[in-house]
Amino acid sequence: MAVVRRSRTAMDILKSDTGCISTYSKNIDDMLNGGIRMGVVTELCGNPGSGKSNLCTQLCVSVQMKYGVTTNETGTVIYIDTEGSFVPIRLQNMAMAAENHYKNENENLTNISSVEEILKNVIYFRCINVAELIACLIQLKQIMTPERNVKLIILDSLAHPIRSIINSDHLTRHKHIVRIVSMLQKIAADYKCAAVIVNHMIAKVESPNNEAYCAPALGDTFGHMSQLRLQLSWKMNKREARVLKSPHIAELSTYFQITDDGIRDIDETELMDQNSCNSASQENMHPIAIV
Amino acid sequence: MSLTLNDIDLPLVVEEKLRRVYGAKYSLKNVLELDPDELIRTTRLKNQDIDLALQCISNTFYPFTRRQMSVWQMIEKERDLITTFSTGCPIMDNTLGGGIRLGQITELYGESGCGKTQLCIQLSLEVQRTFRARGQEAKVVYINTESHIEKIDKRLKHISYYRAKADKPFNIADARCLQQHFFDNIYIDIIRHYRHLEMTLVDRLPLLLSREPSIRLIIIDSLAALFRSEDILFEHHTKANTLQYLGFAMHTLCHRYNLAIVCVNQVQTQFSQIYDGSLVSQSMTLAPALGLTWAFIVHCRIKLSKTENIEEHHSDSQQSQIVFDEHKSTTSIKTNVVHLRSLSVDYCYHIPKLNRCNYFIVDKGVFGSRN
Repeated sequence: MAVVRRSRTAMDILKSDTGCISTYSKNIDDMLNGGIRMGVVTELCGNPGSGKSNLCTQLCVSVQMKYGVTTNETGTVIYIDTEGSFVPIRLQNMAMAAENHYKNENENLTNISSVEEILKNVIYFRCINVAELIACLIQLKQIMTPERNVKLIILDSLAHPIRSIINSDHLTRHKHIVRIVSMLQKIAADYKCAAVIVNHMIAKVESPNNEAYCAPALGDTFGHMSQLRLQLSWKMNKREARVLKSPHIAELSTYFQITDDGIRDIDETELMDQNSCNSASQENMHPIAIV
Repeated sequence: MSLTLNDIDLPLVVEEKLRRVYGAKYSLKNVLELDPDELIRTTRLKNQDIDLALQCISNTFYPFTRRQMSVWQMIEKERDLITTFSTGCPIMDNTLGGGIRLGQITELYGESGCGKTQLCIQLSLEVQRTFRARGQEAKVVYINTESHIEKIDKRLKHISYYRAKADKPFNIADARCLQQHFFDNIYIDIIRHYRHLEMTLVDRLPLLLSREPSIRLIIIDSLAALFRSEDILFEHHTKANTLQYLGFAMHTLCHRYNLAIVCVNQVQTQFSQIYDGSLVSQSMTLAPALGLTWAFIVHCRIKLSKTENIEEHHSDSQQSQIVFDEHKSTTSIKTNVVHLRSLSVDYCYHIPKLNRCNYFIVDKGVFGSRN
């Protein structure tokens, strides 16, 4: 089973651009040059309640809309949930909102995937520990069939099972991280699908002033393994998305909001509103040092 | 109970070699956690044999086709099941998107005296009522770490009496019977040390749950009290590790038995410096205790707080208060007042962050207010 890999030039790669998945927020899409890239691993990190899972859910809908509207293919999404936070009703709401949106925009368009179709094409797995996650990933090839056309794999989250390994040294953790992420990387590259990994934040107290600050969890090894690192946070009572690491995008940040319909842009008028800017956000602050 | 190498069928050569190295009692979980390269090195098997073995092992350990489910199927399945239970008041249910969700960890936090324990007591009764309305039985485990058990017992008697009356009994005897039924379904445990809680979550509760599968709610009131004890107070690393371990145990319980866990958390004051023009002012905010590690464990965090507002003319309240109006400089006596507190959702995957409502506490329990 020796597959000969033909060497490719940069021009080939440029021409065979695999495309992006939109986030439904124009600002974030512009910042990311079109959205989440296919074929590579993207990392999302942020504090609890910063909208990581909601963004993932939005991506589920957006993949389906893209493949339902532009082509007649289906784009299947694999959602691997390790935390148990997924609630199917939320996806249904977002799917309904997206469907309405497209119906209003283009009235004569017929081949829109219906809500039922969207929900049927999101395959959900629940893994509770690392062994289950690895077992799931080993078998993932079984459903990567051409008719399914898997376009997005979401792992929400990697940090939870890894951090829950009891009595482990750093070496074991790193082994697992490298193994899981490289499996995902391989699948993403082989099947030209996007892989999104959700990560936690941890408190660090290494800075010179002994000041605590938040950093993405899972250590430096993991930091090198994802191609794009996107941090979600609260800033001045608004949700902010910031590029932490990327080979091709400038380190930008932008604001977005989460509504009942999903991820959306903030209205420009609201952005200008001085009152909301002045009141510094006390929400979502997490105590670090003293308990 | 866990699956071992004995339980799977592999090609003879592969199976023999695996058994020779690891023994027949070696669990599949450990094999999966091993590095594939290490497997090759120790068993001296070929690469594709190991691949095949891993595929077989993972299929036995994690039945792939049975575990996969489309979201459409999930919604269909949820339609017939109870996924949330009520808090006992339609206004509060509305704020929380239907109530407390099963299979998730919900955290209540707030300063002392804003009704955390009261709400917990009410939840332990309401989960029974929600399930009874659908013809099922629900039991509750109430783990208490803070207050005297007598106080909780007394309050439980109070609220359960009113709840039993609300279920329209035929006569006094029937009401007593209903009330007794509420009591029979609540297991109360007192824990004073975090190691005991660890033991309870890992060993005792699974044992209880295997005998009583109808347990639907575990209340831990409060988690913070255990971790503010002195021997773990300043050992941040140990504390974070223990919390993560407890959280993992809770997640496993939630998932395996489809039950809800409600944790009570205390608040801590947080000092932060805000640049306010030229001068630096110190500001204090109340934030939930236990830190960032714990924040990632909970699925839904609910904030309870006191407000200054009061509301008049409630038939359930006998309290009155003298109010001094600054503008007119008159005093007036308000009768039958209730003090309003506020409930808001800090974060939750499926509930909008803006959701909030006011509530008050009276003899009959905790109720939401329309204002």
